[in-house]
Amino acid sequence: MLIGDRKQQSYEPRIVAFLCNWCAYAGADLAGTQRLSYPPNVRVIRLMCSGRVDPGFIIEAFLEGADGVIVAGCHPGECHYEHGNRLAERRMTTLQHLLGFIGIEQARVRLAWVSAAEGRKFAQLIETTVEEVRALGPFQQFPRRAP
Amino acid sequence: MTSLAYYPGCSLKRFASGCEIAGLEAARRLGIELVELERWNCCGTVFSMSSGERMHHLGSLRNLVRVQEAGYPEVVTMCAMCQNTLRQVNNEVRGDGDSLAMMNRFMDEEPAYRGEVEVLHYLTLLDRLGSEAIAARVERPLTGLRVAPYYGCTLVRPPSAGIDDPEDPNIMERLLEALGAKVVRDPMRVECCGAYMGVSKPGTINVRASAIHGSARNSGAEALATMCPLCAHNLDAVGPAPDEPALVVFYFTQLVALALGAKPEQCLAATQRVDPRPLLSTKGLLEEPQP
Amino acid sequence: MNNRVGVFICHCGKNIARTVDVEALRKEAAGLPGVEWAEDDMYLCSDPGQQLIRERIAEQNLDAVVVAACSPTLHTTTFRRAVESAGVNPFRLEIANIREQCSWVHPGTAETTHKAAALVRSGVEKARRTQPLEPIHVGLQRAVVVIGGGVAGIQAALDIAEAGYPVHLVEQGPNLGGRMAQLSETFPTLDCSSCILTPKMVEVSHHPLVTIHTLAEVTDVEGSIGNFQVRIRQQPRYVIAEGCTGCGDCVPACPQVVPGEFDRGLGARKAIYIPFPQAVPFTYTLDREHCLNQGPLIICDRCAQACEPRAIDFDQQPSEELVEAGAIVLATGCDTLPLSHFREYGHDRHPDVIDGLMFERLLSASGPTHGEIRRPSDHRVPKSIAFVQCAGSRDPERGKAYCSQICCMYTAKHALLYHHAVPDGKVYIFYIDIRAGGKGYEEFVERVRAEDGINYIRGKVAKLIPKDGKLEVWGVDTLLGEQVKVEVDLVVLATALVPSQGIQELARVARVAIDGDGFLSEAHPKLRPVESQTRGIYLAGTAQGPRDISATVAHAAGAASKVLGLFSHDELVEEPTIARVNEALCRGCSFCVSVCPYDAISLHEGTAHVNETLCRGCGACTPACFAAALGPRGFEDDQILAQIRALAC
Repeated sequence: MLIGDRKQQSYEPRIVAFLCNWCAYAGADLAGTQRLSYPPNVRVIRLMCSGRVDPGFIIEAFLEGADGVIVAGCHPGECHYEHGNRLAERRMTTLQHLLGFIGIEQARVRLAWVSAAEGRKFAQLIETTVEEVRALGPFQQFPRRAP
Repeated sequence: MTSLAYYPGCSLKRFASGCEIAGLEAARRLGIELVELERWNCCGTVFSMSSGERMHHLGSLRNLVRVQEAGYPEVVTMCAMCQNTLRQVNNEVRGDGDSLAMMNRFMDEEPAYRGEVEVLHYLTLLDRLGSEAIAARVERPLTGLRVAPYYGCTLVRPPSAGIDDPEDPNIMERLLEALGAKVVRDPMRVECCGAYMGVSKPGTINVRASAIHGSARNSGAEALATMCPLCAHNLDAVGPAPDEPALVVFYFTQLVALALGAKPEQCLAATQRVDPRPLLSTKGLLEEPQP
Repeated sequence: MNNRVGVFICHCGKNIARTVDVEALRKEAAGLPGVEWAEDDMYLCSDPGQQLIRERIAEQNLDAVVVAACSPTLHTTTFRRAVESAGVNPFRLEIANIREQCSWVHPGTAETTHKAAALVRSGVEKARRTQPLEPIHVGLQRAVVVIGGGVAGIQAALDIAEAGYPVHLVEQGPNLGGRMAQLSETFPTLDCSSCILTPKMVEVSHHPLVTIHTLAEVTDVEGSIGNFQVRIRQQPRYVIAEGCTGCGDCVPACPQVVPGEFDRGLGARKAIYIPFPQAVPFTYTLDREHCLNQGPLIICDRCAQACEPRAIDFDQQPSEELVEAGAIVLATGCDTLPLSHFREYGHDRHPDVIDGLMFERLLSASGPTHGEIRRPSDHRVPKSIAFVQCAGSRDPERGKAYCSQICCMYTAKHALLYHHAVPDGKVYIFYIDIRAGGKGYEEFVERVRAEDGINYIRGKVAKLIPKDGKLEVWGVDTLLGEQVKVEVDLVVLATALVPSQGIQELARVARVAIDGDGFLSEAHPKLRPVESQTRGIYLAGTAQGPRDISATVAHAAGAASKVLGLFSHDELVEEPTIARVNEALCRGCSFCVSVCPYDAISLHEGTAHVNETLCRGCGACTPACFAAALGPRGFEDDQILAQIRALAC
């Protein structure tokens, strides 16, 4: 088995990122095309719009063992779907208020705007998020679900 | 009788006293009491636009603190320059919380200014009463007197501190009509009078005054009306070149007081270089108003 | 759930294989639940690579496929075709992006291979939960409503009608022609504007497939691309179009004289009138606002008496018509900033301060002065003219921030035409910069600059002072660093172009966006300049932004070609990846209705209903649904949750 229980060994934070297809995912692709380097701790789920992100997905990610979550979409005013990113912003803001209540540090969840031209910004976003989540230590607030 | 805070400024206590005496009398006749602030200081004269020169704005702010202390929401000024400086300083600190906090730290011996005072020019005050209300109080209509309002710069510019449209103001025209005068639209009414150029290059003022008097005369005016002591000084006390004819220059308040029935000696300043009496006499405006 | 998933891992030469241990990855993939087959190849996108996928699908009887390779933006179509040709529904293909988002950005360590494995696992989990999807077929109404009867609307209508589709051309005014009909000659060739526009107006009016609605406006738009229902409100003309012969006998009979809008108030018309001699349709219009008959009582019927064909009908009423259309073209044109905006130039006091369009009327042979340039105040021929460019344009503080695009050119044209008419006349053109970026434009301006008596002065005009029947222009010459004062007989302001009145209401009705300056917003400023943000609604001409005639015609032709592209199919074929409602779960709370950016969801008898042509599949409605009753196909909750599970641990 290649993927062992990493939390037994030296701690490497696991970040789940929800990226919109048009801006943030394209920005992540651009980081690749430009051969920028960033930590491999991030795992991307491609959605059509950041407005598709259900706050429940974020809780689910922590339940499944993630240490941090990123939601990234188009810059305000540039949403491919007119105002999906605004919906994401409102949902994430509400979620941020509730995170402490269920024992998740707010810094573990990050909403960001990354355009298709911002490969470098994407790489930096991953870098800083990984460092910040690393500093918070592994997320162990929730009991691990049985696999 | 309505009471309002009143800030006179330095000029109105000295060479522009005619403006104040007539203005206070006119206000009284309109049922407005202008209560002079107990303590006031120079407004700073010219709004300094260099960002590092905030110290120049303290004078204005202290006056606004005085108004706040006295508990008035508004302060009335007659001098165009004072209204301009007070208003610009007020706008600056109101639009920028950091700037207001910094200025308050500079004046830590004073109560903190909250940025709530409104600066109101005398003309705006009259305009607020409305032409009809003023016309109803006119006892000595200025019938036949052909007056060209002259705004100069500080009454209308910059737009943020002006009392009317900077290019095409109308407030004095409206009020003059209410007073019964014949309004003359002089195309140079928002041109500069020369301002402080008189200090460094005295001849400039004669050139400007000639142009402004000439333009008003060609438009059919017999007199100019202004609200700015500096404009009045340049257009009247300095005036056009000696060999050129000069129109009578009134403070606007003088015309208001005259029309509202004040005695001519309350309206006419001894400091006017071009004597207004012959002109007013031909129009029958020095006589006691007919009841 | 699909349990015969095939995983295909691409080396991409060494692009992936350099940092990812492909063999370890393949072994890992082969052991995943639901995976029937795992294989790697040097270049999967190559023909042999695709052939490999097709063969394995057949051999192994695979029901879903995961390709671990480059970004899905590159080769989704390629691999969808490959799996489809082997009998797997193309929406049962998933791509794991292990190049752009893995091998290219991470070093050749075990952790990189771990990540690639997680991405493959995520892809497999999603692929197992995919459903076969079929494209959605929607009927298509192959008719068009073009709104605006200027040159843009005429061009779009003609192009579409020529291709064989019916067009409704809706014009607010009494006649076609728009701004171009008001112009004298066009830059840079000095073609007579009427001479080139009139044949087009005649052609469109005679075209069997074009229905012209003048004095009409669109008051409501329902439906979506392919199937719009457009409500057209027809104002009464009080002249029966079929009866009017255009003889004009009514005009001398009418006692009411009114300033003519077409001549920008420089000329007069009667209350019954035709705005210009080449008007199409050539039908007179009775302007009831200025007619003596204001109430129901007819007190003056002189026009009706004079009309031999008895074509005047004082009792005409407004009417409405509902038109079915597959597409809409908005060509509502532009206006200019009113002269009253420029208080420093005092038009209300100086009749000899006019705008460029008024000067066009003075130049026009059919204008109020029959083409002789005479100033409004005393009808004298002006011996000197000052042209003020950028009046309101490029002036963010007091006017518009944008450049109006056409003023440099038409001012040069005005100067030249004036100079031809008054050879000893003096011209002063005040400008900020000369922008002559069109074919033959710079050459034209250079030609005008070289004329004796035409002076270009780089600087703005501060104000105009009336002086002895003339206007003294106070300006500045920024090249010489001097104040300029010149006395002229006439001042022409090149006023900024602004959107035509009523555009906001139309944009609201048609549900298209407008920009900060009030022009209609295009879907993309570079790549989709003729499409609005609403599918099926296209933009033509200056309604979208200032442009000259040739650019307007090109823009309109572009809009027409987009319509024809849409109409080249018998029906609309829509992507199936849109929201779907589980009617058994829907409670009818309508939260989804309020978040949808496209108004694609509506409630029918207490249940949400998705309009398949309006929905774009963004999925914003899904988190809003408390009942988990709707989700976009291809990105459903169970798929995403399975991906989270695959990635987070």
